[in-house]
Amino acid sequence: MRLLLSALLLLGLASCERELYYTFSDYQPKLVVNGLINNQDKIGLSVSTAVPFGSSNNPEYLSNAKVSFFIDGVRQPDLPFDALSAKYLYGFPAMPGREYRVVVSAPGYPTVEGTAKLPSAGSFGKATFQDSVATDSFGFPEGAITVRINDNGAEKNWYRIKILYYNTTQAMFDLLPVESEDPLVNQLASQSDGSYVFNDATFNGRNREIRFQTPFGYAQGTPRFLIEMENLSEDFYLYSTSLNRYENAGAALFREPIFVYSNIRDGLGIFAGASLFRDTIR
Amino acid sequence: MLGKKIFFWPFLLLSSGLQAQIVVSGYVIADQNGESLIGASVYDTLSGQGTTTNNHGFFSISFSSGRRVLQVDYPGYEPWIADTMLYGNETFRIRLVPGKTMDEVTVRARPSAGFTNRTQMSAIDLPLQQVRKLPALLGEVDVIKAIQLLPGVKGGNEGSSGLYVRGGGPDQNLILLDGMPLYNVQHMFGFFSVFNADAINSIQLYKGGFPSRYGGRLSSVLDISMKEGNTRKTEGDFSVSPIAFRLSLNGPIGKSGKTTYALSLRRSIFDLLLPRSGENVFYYNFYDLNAKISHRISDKERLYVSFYSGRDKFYTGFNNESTNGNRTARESVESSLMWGNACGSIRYTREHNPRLFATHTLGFTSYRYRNGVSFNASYRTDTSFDELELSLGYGAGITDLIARSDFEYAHSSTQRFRFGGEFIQHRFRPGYFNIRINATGGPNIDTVIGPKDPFYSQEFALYGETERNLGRGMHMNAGLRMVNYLSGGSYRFFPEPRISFRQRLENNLALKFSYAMMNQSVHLLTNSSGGLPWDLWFPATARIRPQRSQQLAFGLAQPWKHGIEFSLESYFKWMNHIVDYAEGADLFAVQTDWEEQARVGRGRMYGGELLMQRRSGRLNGWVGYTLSWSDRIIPEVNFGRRYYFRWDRRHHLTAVAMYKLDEAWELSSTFLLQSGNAITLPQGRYLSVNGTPINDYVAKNDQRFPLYHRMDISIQKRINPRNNFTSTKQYWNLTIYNVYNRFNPFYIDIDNTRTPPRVVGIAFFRFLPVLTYSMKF
Repeated sequence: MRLLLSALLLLGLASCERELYYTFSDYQPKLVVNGLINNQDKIGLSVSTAVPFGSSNNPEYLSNAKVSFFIDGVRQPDLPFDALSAKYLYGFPAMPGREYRVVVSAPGYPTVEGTAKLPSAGSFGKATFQDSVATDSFGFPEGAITVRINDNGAEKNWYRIKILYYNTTQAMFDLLPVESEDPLVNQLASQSDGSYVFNDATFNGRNREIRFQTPFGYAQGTPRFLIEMENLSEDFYLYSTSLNRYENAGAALFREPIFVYSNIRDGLGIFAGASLFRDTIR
Repeated sequence: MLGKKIFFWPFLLLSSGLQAQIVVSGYVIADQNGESLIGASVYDTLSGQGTTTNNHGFFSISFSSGRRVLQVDYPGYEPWIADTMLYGNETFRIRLVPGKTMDEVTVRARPSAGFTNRTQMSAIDLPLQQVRKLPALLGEVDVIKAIQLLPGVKGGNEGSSGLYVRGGGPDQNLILLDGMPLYNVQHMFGFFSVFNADAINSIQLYKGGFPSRYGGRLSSVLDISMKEGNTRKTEGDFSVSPIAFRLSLNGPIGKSGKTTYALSLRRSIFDLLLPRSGENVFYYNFYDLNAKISHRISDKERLYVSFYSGRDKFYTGFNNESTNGNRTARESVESSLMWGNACGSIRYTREHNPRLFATHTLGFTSYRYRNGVSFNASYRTDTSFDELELSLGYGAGITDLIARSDFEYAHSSTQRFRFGGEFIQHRFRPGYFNIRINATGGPNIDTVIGPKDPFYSQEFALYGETERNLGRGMHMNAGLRMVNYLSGGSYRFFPEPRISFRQRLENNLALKFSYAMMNQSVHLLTNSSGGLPWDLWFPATARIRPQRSQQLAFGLAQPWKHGIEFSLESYFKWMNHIVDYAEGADLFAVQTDWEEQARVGRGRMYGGELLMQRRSGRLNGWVGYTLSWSDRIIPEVNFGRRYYFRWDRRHHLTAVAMYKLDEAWELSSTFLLQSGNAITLPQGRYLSVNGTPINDYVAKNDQRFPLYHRMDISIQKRINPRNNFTSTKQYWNLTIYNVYNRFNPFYIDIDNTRTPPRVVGIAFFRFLPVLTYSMKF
């Protein structure tokens, strides 16, 4: 009897799922331009398509787009498509303080454009490493890497810091899993690629040191560590942080939706710049 | 003495000279049980001057001497009429007799002067006898769901007891139970409210034109009074539905009838069907306990002690024991979720003289939320014994201590005053995690993440309001509430002006206008999707300022034939410093870092409401229609662009009808038709800079749920209505929820497991018949 009553109760409360037909017929085809540029690597960007949600087609990269390229308003040769990287490439890195603009068109899509300006090169002090400054919960010694930023008070700045260690086995740099008790680089600043992104709101115009704890067993080889410090444009910062939130959100049922930032006019994606400074600790 | 004069000075400025006045005062009570009738209209039919009873059934009104025809009206009761010559102060104890709803003549004969005489606009008294007869989800009579059927009020998800008044949020409703605010009024993940209809005496809802005595919330005031108890005999109610049983008792204590009690208990029953021991244990239950003692110290003094406690508990447990050779392992995983409110108050009322009535209240209210998961294991062999204990707990809550004094003063036949003060101390626990690990030979950790200490803030408010007859049918109610707010060392002062006008024209047509400013020093971040209990209340701080609203309302009201009251109102409301989630905010991250995950902005709401209501008669009920807009601008949400509030619904039409066939049979039906609420859905897909797929949401809340409509019916049968040998009345009630099986989604989700992904809706309540039994004795 109990079982029967329970079953009846559950039947009454049982959820019912049904597909809802939202057609999104108003959704217009869009071009997507993605290019995050810096002063160390050649300028490159990808062009792809956006498709209506629920469409059986998938977004795909375009190799036949026309990418007009401008530096400080002066038109350069159109960017050629590189099949290996699936990107439209320019032969040189971007330069701090300069403005880069792309105008992208492809058959069947409205023309889109985006502008990226590299912020001035950030003023970073020499990063330092100290070994055995503390012990972890298992009694092993921990080191500490200190990064120094000399913030320019005349402008608003956004920073990204990434610390890598030299993997002697593979003879290359890998991400170093650092931790920090500094409130500036808390959990919110942590990005899924292991970097930390933050702004200068709390130290505008001042020098700032950030200390990271390094786990035991990584301070080997020469060079030992590579510190990547970037001065980001605001667009770069907004895109990186919103994309990071989006990618880490998972499929929680009651999560608020996440809008990924875009600065592409009439399209989607990002075209933004950062000034990158690399420092090694030997 | 000087101080008293200074205090009254602003009011005296407004008054005309004090003439020789006769004061008529007293109480209006129900004849059958002695319960105070709150909001009853008391007026002189010759002059049209009148007032309404307060929360204790008391009224006081001044007249010049001479002939007066006093009439007292209350929905569902026969009018009380006295044609009298007044030469000196008079005190009445008026007992109203329940009306015979079959008698159409009574209904037609009753003038509705009380309806158009009131200056107060945007206020609705919902008769409890109507609430009790409405079709109820799973047979549980729900006050909040009845209120959702009124114009200007909308519910949240399908079946939920959320309350969204004139485009405001769920935190912006001041819900008072015997004067104490309740912070969370939901049971069973929002499907039912905490208000047990058997424990309630009256319900008053204010959507705008707020009187100065109320403050602290932006969008509405829902003032609910608990039953005091029968002064003559013990009586009770018992009912059982598939969800819960309810038992209520009330009556006199002692023979004098000076002291009465009212006690009500409601408890869910479905967990009794589920196993409480064994390998897998799962149960959910809730309860409500309402208790009140009322004592008449003298004819002029009364004492009330009220208490409410309610709690929900959800528990799952899994136990496992296994043996492998000489090794025995015992493992158990338990998780629990609890939330609940408690509030209590002591109220002392005194009629200092026929003109001056005072109420002093001391009380508390508390909301608590607890969530925990634990894993316990022990491993025994012939030579060893190891134990492991892991637990993760989360807690949040808010507790208020409240002291207030309210005074009502009938100054003259044309002017009345209300004034008083209120002090509230808020104690917040805005969320913390407790992590504990104990292992044999391993690490022992016991730590707290999040704020370890409670956060305190204080509010002190003084208010004064005057109700003045300006002559030629014009009536005014003007007031000022002055709020002082202290939080974390910062001090703020808010003057809140309130004003209402009523102009009475020919044919009992009344034009009304009101303006009200409100401030709210507590913010809420709540799960906006599912009505789940993850409510996080936090104080206004230096960074997140108190919320503020201003509301203008215009309206007209007119009684029609056959006892129908008609009203039409339009409103424009704008709010500042309101909070919303940061994009992508995670509920659990919000719990520990609320200030970081909240975003502050502004909103505007406007619309029109129409209500045609018939409160008594064989056929009674109402038709309501609302046309409204509600949107928000928050700089860091939706890239700073304006977006619709999640519960913005353009059209909202309700029809409620109750019909008494005869002494045995009663029918009731409700119909609700409303636009789908706003939702953010992906409209496209594209690739990120990393090549990962991303949804293109285009804009926040720019899509809509499907059109919502539903009809419910209820058929009540009284057993042996002609059996006069017993006072016990028994009823069977058949309620059919969603009669025509409409698919109304509770929520909409994206199914990414399919290629291409699809949008799916999940509905909980389809055609749902339920039988309930109830008994009055």
